[in-house]
Amino acid sequence: MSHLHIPDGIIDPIWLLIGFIVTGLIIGLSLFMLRKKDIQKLVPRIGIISAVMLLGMSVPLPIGIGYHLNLSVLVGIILGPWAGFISAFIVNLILALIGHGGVTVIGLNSLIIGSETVFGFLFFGALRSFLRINISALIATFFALALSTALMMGIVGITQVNPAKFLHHHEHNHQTQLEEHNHQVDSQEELAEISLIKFAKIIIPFAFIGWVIESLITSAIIGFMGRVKPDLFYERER
Amino acid sequence: MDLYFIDYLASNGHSFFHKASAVPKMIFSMSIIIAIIMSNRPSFLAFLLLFLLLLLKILRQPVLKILAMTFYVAVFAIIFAVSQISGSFLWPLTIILKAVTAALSVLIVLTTTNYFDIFAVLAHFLPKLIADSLFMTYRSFFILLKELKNLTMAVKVKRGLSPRKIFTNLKSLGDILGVLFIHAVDLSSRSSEILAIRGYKGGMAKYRSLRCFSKYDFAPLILSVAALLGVGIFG
Repeated sequence: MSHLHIPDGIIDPIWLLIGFIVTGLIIGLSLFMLRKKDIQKLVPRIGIISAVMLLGMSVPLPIGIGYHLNLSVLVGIILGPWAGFISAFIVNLILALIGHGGVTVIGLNSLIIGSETVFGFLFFGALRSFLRINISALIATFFALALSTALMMGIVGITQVNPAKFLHHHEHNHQTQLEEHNHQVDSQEELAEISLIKFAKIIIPFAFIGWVIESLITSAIIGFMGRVKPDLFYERER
Repeated sequence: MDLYFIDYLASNGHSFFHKASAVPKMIFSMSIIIAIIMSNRPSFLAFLLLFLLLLLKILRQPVLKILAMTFYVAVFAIIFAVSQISGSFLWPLTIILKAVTAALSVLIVLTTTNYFDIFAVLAHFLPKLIADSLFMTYRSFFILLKELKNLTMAVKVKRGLSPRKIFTNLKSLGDILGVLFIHAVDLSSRSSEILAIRGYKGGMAKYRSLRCFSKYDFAPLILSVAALLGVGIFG
């Protein structure tokens, strides 16, 4: 529930570019960190786990409303933060290619879903030393999703597109009077603030339900994997 | 997710768009998206949407089914649009039109192009590890989808999935995905052994060189120029 499903053409191109640059830098860093890993093992691992993530997203949750899973935290726990971020990018790319998200927001979306893999991995790693793994996964997932939603809200806030700007442009082309311009800037800021609050009011209740469901399912999966194949979780190299 | 259906449409169509190579079609899609970014005029965006729907009809693609694939992005556009309502309905309408039109332009390319060709183009821009993982993701999606269907069927038979039993359903889903994850890791181990035997050193996705320019490539390029000229004049 924390994808940035903002369509193409809404966000200012400069922010889209920044999104791509930051994602590119993180991917570059991830590739650098993974450079000593065996590519013969890494490619199938990232590819197939990303496919499971895509599958998780394609399964509607059987609770009567249109939710689907992300599994991004789980992917972070299994692949680790670097490969996990790459996996998030791949999933976003495929989602954009099948019309499930904007092509131009792939960079920003990857930052959000990638943050879930990274935060999830970090929280799980910190908690599992003193809590049971399913409880650690539950807490890690909940807080990772909450943080990524906060990041999404932050991005929406920073990149806020002001509807008034466009509507005003249509209604009164080329206004030049300074007084009217100042008034316009004030009302734009006010509207932007209102629309962000409105956006938060709509998104957060839905997102909260999503965090709870995803946390419960991730916890169930991790509990099951812990019993059947405990060596699956990514271990930090010392 | 409609990957199966998209794959079927891309492999079984015979229209002039299907015969065109991937690069001009990707240029077409990017031009439409650029036009969408540049235009804030609902009438122009509605025209662009109608134009894409007409193009789908000409290409003998299932228009309604492909339009239905944009439903998901439209829902999120509506949420975003509702939060942006500021007295006029024009801006929310613009957001929804932008979302659906952009998604449709990408879907036209996907439903008329073999994924092999699309990944071959992407492999020229992406690092080896990502391009190969992308290819691996797409291939294994279909294998795992079949397994997911079998597992879901097994759980339905054994325990049952009912809208009323929320916690039982969530636990069942956790078990299904847990098994799927473990099978996925086994599959990745087997795949890595196969890659090792084949002497894989990276660069799996460069399996197909880009096709030469053909007469069919003119159509998407002409439509790209038309979209950009259109936004320049009317957008």
